[in-house]
Amino acid sequence: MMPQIVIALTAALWASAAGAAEPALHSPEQVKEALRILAYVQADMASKLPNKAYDRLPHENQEFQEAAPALTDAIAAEPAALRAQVAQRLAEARQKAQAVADASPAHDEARIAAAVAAVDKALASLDALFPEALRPVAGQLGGRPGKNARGGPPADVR
Amino acid sequence: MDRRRALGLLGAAFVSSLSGPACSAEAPGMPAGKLVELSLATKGDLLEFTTQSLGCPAGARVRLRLTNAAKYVNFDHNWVLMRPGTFDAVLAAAEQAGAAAGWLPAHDTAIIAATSQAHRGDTVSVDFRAPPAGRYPYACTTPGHASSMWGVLTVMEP
Repeated sequence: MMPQIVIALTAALWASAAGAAEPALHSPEQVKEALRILAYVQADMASKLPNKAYDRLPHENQEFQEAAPALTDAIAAEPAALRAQVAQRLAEARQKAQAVADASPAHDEARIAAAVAAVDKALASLDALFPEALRPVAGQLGGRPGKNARGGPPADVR
Repeated sequence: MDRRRALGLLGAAFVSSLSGPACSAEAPGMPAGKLVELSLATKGDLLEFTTQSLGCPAGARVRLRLTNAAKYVNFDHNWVLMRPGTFDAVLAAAEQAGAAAGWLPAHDTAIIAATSQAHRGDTVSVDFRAPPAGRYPYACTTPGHASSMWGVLTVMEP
């Protein structure tokens, strides 16, 4: 009987500790969606680089700025400490996105690529504040990949 | 977007209903007969359609409705049905056409049907006659969107 009690108590303590390490969010699906929206906009921004569509980047920045409140709304019911952390990293990500727009008129390929990479890095830092299960996974936005893993329909209709 | 609305849109995407006289608006030159109504939407602000699979009988009159269900981001989306094997060419032509043309190349024989651009909160539609039996890709041709906003219309023998 005694070992069973010890095992049960150990399990309860472990579960409690695990819970403390990663507290449940009030709106996890909303957070997941908000992070995906930001990831999509960043991917859309990055998609302008291969064909040098730099003049579209201010528009992509605008979309990024519009997407940011989705995350703010998603965490509205969370503790102040988490909200403050998210606000800080989200603000950094927004600044990096603005920097992409600012860099775009010069059509300096290296500078623009670095600016876009900085947005990606800022988003990774933001995502890290949330449980792994809620973070966007590169290559898994939009479902089944198509030709050359670029996304799009299957090869037989593409 | 609230969960109930999202589920409603998702459900609507899978419904292709045959309807009669209630659907009176017809495209010029469209043959008389039953109208197949197809609906899809964006998954909120995500760059995804609610379905990657639509279906209709060959030769049917089809009305497709696209709803831009974004809440935060002023994305513009369209729905473009194209002949098999033309996906990449249509996307390239769309980018060439530019924003002023709604990212839609004029007089492109690879395009079977296309809606206009749906702004945030808008629903747009297009009427067309279903092509011969086969599988036809569709996508949003706004640059950067088609890698995740795509699907396949399966046209069946009537």
